[in-house]
Amino acid sequence: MKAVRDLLQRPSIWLRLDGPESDVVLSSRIRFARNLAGRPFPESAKPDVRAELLREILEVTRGVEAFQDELRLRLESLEPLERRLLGERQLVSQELVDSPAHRGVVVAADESVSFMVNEEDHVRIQSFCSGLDLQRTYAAGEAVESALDKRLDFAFSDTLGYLTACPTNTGTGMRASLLLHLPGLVLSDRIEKQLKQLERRTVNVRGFHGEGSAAMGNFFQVSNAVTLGPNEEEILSQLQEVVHDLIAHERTTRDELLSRARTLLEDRIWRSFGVLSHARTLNAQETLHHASVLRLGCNLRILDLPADLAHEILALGQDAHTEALADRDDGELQRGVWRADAIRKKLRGSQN
Amino acid sequence: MSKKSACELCHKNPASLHFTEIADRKVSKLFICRQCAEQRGLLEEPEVEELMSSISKQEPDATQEERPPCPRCGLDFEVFRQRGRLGCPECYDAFGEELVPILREIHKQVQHTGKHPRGGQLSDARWQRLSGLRQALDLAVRTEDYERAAKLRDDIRQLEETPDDETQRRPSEDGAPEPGEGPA
Repeated sequence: MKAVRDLLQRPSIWLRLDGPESDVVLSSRIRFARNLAGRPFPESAKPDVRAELLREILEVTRGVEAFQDELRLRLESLEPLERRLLGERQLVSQELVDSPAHRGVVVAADESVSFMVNEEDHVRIQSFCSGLDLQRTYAAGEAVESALDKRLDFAFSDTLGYLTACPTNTGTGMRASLLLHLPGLVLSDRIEKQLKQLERRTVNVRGFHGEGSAAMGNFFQVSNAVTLGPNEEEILSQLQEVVHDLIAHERTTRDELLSRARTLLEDRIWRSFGVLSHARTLNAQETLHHASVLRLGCNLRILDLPADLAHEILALGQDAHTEALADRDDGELQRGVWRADAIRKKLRGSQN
Repeated sequence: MSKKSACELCHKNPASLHFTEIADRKVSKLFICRQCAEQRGLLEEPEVEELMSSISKQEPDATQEERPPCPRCGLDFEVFRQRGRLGCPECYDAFGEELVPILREIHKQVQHTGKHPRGGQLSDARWQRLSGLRQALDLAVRTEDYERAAKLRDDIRQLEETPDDETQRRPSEDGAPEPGEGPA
């Protein structure tokens, strides 16, 4: 069986850069919340019931076709670092990183599909694609959902659809979420106005790491607000429409910045390049910030760097990834020194 | 409602916005002008979290205190109001009357039209009839016509349990909802 650290051989899906519209959209992610009929939701279940649910779900979902060569994990048998790696790769929620008891995750080797067991709901199926590709993401997730549906008896009502622990997920149980890079709108101070308008269009906007987190590195997650009423296709096409508008605004703004404030824009980008290529210590947050600006510089061809370089640096803007790649756990400061070293080498190598 | 109606609050400006207010299971509809909406802070759309906490802040009234807990998992409705999470799928049935307005507030609609388990779909005619009955039920609950609601609920149950003679089969013959699993 594969180990969590084997995943590090490839970039996370949101850092793969090979999907459509990848100048603005990093990834498309869809999850389905499902529960077993007649069983208490995980939060209400007693520990022995939760343990039994985990055992049962892991057992009956063996051999689902989409999960060849999978990772089939009980969170409590992992090291904390491995759990944090799964979290940074967006394969498990922060909740599972922090409270691993009686929780599990099954992940396909390519990370494109996965499901968590005993999160807020019994099963949370996820499919994940690079760039903007809601159709493909939906097809992959729906295939897994249907495969699990043959083995598990999902709680369902004709009127209200799939029954979930929180009424905000009732109905389709489907949340589609797009990770967007919007540095143009942030630099031009238009972001707030844009996001305000979005909230009137039944989408939610969040920062990089989901609920309540600030928008680090100019990354935003946009997702459908409503799960009951419209069907899956309608929900996705509405989200797609909103995101197309947002992509268009971001691109127009980048063009305007180039034509009307080129020097200031170049200055920002070269400053970030300067910090990343000269700093002797870097923490995760500033790495994320400067790598985000570097990414913009590459997109606008102000910097002549290999396309994936900014993404390699973004990956180092995550503490667990840096810790695992450095293969040492000697504290924040030493990690910062190792990180700055690694990034300097990458940038020097690229200029040869 | 005619487009030229006056605002129901100031009775001066032309009304342009519809609002549904839900407080302690009482649903009132308002057709008002933008100025009054702004004054009452109705234009800021609440986040779901705020919404859930506003639900939990509502003072329980006498009838709510008497509401029995979910017969399956024992969850008390007050506990749901505090933490925003239900205890089990059957809570939807046990707390149906209280939950439907909450679901409507979140999603604006309360009829699922998406995927069914095991690829099942209702035949169109039955779907339409069920959907009509559910809308009527919804209205009866909102107007607190509980006698009519009870009858409609029986009709819905009966229709759900009748085998479908149409070419398409009932959703999920083996995974079909138990009678009474739907929301009350």
